[in-house]
Amino acid sequence: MAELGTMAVIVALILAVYGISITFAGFKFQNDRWILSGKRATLAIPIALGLATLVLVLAFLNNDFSIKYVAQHSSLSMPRIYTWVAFYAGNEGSLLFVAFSLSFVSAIAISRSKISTGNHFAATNLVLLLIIGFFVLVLSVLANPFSQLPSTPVDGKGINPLLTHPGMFIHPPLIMTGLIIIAIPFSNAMGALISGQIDDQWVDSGRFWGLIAWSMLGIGLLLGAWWAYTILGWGGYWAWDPVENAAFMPWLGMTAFIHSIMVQKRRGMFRLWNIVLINISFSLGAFGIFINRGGPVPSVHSFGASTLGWVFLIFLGITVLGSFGIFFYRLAYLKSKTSLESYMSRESSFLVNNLLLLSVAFITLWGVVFPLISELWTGTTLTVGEPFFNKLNGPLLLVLIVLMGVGPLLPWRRSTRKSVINALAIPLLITLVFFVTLLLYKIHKPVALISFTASFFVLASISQEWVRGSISLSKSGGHHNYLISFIKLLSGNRPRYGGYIVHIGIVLLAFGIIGSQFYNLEKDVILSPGQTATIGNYQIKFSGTTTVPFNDRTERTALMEVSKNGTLVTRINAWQALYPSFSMLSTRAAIHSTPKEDIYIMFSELQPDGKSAVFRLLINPLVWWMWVAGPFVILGTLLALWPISRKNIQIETS
Amino acid sequence: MHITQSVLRISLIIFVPFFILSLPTTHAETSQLDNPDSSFENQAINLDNQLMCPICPGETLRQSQTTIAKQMRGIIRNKLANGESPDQIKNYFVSVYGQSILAEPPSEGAGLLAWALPPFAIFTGLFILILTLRAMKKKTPDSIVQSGSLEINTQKQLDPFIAMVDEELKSGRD
Repeated sequence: MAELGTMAVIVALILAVYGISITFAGFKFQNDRWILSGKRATLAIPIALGLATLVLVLAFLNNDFSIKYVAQHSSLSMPRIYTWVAFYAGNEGSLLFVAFSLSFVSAIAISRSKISTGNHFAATNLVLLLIIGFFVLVLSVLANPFSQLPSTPVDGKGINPLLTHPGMFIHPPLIMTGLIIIAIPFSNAMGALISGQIDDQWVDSGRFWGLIAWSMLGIGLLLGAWWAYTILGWGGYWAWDPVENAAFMPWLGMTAFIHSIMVQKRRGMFRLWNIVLINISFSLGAFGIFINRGGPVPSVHSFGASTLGWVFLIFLGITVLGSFGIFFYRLAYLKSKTSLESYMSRESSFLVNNLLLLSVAFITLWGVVFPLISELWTGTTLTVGEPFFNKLNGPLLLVLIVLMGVGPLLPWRRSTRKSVINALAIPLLITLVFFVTLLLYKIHKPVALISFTASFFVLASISQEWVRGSISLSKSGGHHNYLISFIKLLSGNRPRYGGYIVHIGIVLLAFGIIGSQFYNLEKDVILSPGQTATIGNYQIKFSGTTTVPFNDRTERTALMEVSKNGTLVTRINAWQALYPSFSMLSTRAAIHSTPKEDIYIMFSELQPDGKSAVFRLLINPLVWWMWVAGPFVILGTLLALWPISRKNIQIETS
Repeated sequence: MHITQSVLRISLIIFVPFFILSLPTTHAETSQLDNPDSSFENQAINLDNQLMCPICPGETLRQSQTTIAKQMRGIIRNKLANGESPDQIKNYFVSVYGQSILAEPPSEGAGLLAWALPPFAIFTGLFILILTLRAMKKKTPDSIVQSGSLEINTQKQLDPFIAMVDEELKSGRD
């Protein structure tokens, strides 16, 4: 079995090397048959890597502990369902996953391309193959997932208990895939630059795959937050940990990109800037992979850590130097077709959006690398933790939210002051009403008040657009069925209204963050069975623990009764398990979630007497809305991506 | 300058009501401190957030579930109960573990760089943005404006819906 896996990886490497050579030759000597052959190599690589993936999964299912990787990340007592998680729980397996998902998505992107000849296509495919080839090379030389142990152990070490969570089925694959497939819009842009065919051809494909990478990263980050919330047990969901930041920065870059690329699509502007943005995003992605694989900063996400940091540092260096080198080489080609007509236009609001997003990304990057700089510079390491990021990024994110309300109201090209004020009037009025309502409900903390109001303003401005649009469509259609008009409106301009739906998701996320950051209650208590603690309006009674021993762990469940003003609300279980082989205590908080607030109970530890226990109690307002944001982001992205139907194309060409 | 004026005006429109109405809130906030129990616990949690766990990478005391973090949380609460100020407590932990125990860099010495660079970078970015916008606008020769207005017409054909909505927004409520 192991030999088959190794073979498959080597076949993928041969295919990549062949593809790179033949594509390069085809590019150099203008031979379309060679270029086509290179395309076939790209299409074949995922088959080889898919086979390797299959072999590794089967090895896990068969408990083949002769393979070192399987022995390290699985055990006989591991529930079979976690096979898939164990597959990417460590360095080698996750690299195989990254290589496979990149090659798979690349094959789809390459076969979707309408043209498969010529320099532009060849250069795009070449860049993709180089990136895929790099990962396959690392897999076959430095991190073979199929390397075998000299003697087969009876049982494996088992899966890291922190990973036995439903979120782990989707969070890591989404983050890894999202990060790496930035390579696709990146190679589209590079292909355009290298071939010198810098028309706007790469824009459609770049936008399409950019949106897909962006939404995968976004949903992956959200699932990661959910995982942290339920399992890490401090009641929070985001800690500005270096590895979180490493995935957050490319997401910010891609957010800027998917906005800015629309300006090129519609107006032919920002051609230079969009290349810079995709270069930055992919470089940040490469930086993320470097940090995750044994980069020099400490993090809680040390699952994939390895000694391969230097390899990915080289990858990062080549990415940055190569992409910006090509960019400067072709700088003269990148003149915009049209120029800015007015400062008060959607074009310029997108530039402000880009500046803000990149500022957040820069601050985050600075925070990640500053401890290293301080160590090199002064010899003492200074820590850059949560408060730093909250203080510096918080205000910028708030301004971004305000911009999210104003920007969409500005039309393309130009607008007059009067029309802007006209468009803002109703949303601002509704927002003012909301603001007063907040005051009446005793929301008095200034920052929370401003943030809530700004977020609501976004909802008001989107609603106005939708209501006005639906009414005017109904008018012109001569009927009063506003629902039909609304659907027509949405499908009439999918990129725009898909974007609005995503914006609604972001606002819901903001509501959850503001509510839980500013209005949470927190208490650490020691309770004996039968005792009750009070937090906010709730009384929380500890009814006792049950203990169940397993082969690999001892599980303890604390039964908690939550009452509000004397009436029982719910009974929930706070759970913890001691894993001796990992010398690790894994916890699962008891959460009673409602749209208004979460009651969150963490079973910290059992006291030496074996009966009383330490609990962390939290009331987290509005957290529920954060998870609701996910479906909005997915729905909005799908709408924005949905291809234009034939009917609409006819309208375009007529 | 035209752009700064309009930006200023828009931000005034947006923010002034907030600030006026949030003025009385400063009083409301202090009233929360009336409850001595909650203020003690808030102070303690604040400190948990400002100190790192010395052995767990990247986690603050508040986040970490290790024994040492639990012990340090206990020390914080004891010291607070003994009347020590948050700054005294932080200095105590710095004297034991060094500067790296603080969750954010100090605003002096090398730490100052951490705080100073981001605003500097943002303002540089803003400056470049304004210059770029001005340059992009200035270079508009008449020919481009004309082809641009042609583009408006094709734009409308391309996208009847968006044009209709934009029209509607421009005309305002009628």
